[in-house]
Amino acid sequence: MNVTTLYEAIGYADPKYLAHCEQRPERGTLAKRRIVRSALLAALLLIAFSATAAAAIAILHPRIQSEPDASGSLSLFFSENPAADDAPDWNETCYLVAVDPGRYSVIDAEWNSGLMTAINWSNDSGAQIGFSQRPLKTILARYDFFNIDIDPEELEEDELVLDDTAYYTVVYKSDYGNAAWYFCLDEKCHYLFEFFFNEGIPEEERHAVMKSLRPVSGKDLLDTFGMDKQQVWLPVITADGMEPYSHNLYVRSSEIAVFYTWHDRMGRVVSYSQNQSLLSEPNPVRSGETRQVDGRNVVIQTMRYSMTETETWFFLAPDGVTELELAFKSKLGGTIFTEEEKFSVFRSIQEAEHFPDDLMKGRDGE
Amino acid sequence: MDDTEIIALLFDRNEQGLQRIQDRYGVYCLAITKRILPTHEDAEECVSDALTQVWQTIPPNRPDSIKYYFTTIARNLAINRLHYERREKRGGGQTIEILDELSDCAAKTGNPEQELEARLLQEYINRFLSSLAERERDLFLKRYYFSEELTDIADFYGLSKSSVSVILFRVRRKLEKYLRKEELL
Repeated sequence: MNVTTLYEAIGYADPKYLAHCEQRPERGTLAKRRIVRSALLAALLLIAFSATAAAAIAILHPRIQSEPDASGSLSLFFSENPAADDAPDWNETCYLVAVDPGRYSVIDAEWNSGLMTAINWSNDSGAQIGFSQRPLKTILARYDFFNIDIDPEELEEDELVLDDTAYYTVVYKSDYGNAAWYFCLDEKCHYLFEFFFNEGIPEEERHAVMKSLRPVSGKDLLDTFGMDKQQVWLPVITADGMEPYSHNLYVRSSEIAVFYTWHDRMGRVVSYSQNQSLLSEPNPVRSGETRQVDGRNVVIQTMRYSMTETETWFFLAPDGVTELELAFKSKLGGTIFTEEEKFSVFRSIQEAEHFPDDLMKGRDGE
Repeated sequence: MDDTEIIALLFDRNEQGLQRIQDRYGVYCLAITKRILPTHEDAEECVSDALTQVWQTIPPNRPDSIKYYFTTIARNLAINRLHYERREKRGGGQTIEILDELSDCAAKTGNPEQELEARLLQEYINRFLSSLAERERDLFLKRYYFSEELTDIADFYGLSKSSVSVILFRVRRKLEKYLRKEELL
């Protein structure tokens, strides 16, 4: 039997089944599902809002988000959704996950300003086995994937009860080819976190990992993985022709960099910039046209992609180290900056260059 | 005029029966064939051919539902047309995607002996459908009979697109398991 035969055979489905599926579900059924989904979202919102008042709340507008690609690694992209949102900081305990030290190790972690945590894991031999993440409500609101409509009574052969701790009781496993995606749910089927295993990880090993997961606080993660800075609040900078920029602090164990995302009045991302002076090892500029701006050397590189063009300005310190990097996106959906506007952005940032002192402080100088 | 009266017209070899089918179910049927075939013209041609086949097969057949009888013929004509299109490399749109999804429940190559048992397979499919939960069955048929987009199915049932994908994935796995158990794979 080939797939066409199967497809044709489905064509001879009993008319009563065909007629039934064309009937719009009763309002009550839809409402019930929406209630389940709303309850799931509400629970997560509650978790998100339970951060203490002292928690640094970032308003990201627009936001950098991340999502896993097919290989399980994470790629960043810019959201052009202008809707602002709140997110708790890392002091909140929110079912972040950790694996037994010594058995599995972290190879990377992403911290996109409180929007999401994603931790890539490796096994004893150093091979990446997959990643875990605990998306916060901002992501949940945008990815309906996480609004999986699971009825506790429907958990059948995919149900996998791994543990009976206070933290999770049920794991919903979904196979994607030879990879497996485990959704950890509480006893009410509320989503807690997930773990995506790459292809080729034996089931026994997957279960061992899942059983070793435990919730930890954001602070624990910072300590454990060498994250030495939390999210901070930077002063708002304005530039001619643009709304106040939004920013995102990007923290890794070995470096600190500040990313700014700029948007126009329509909320579209038009540029991003990066303060390289905060990096422990500034990236060298390899090539490009060199010009003088306000007495500084500026190296301009142009990258052309299939649909867009990005012009990156590297502002160099007298010793040739890159102090500031500004990238101006143009063409597709973006604003084309005039040269004066580009200078304006640069000068605005320079005028606000009172960090890193402020950078080391929390929101509102706390 | 209901289906019984339409069938009566066809048994009387009255072409008004065909006109009634066209009036009543023509647009509906065209909507389905358009989901399968890349061009409107091909889809219309399949509907027209399906009407001819209805004329040729009723009598002797006396289907319970003219609507689905007519639709199934048109759908199968469309899928055959699509195979022709694929051979001619003229594209296939969403149906290719649907066939790809179903391919994990089917053998990779055709087996002529099993092809001959297509009718038997239809019975098995109906048995399988009867074993499914109502929602699973509805979603399965929306996707694999009516060839509807996942987004449309999700909207219709008030589910997220991802939920629909997950449910369909589980049903396909059940179907594969069922077909293996019945030694059809």
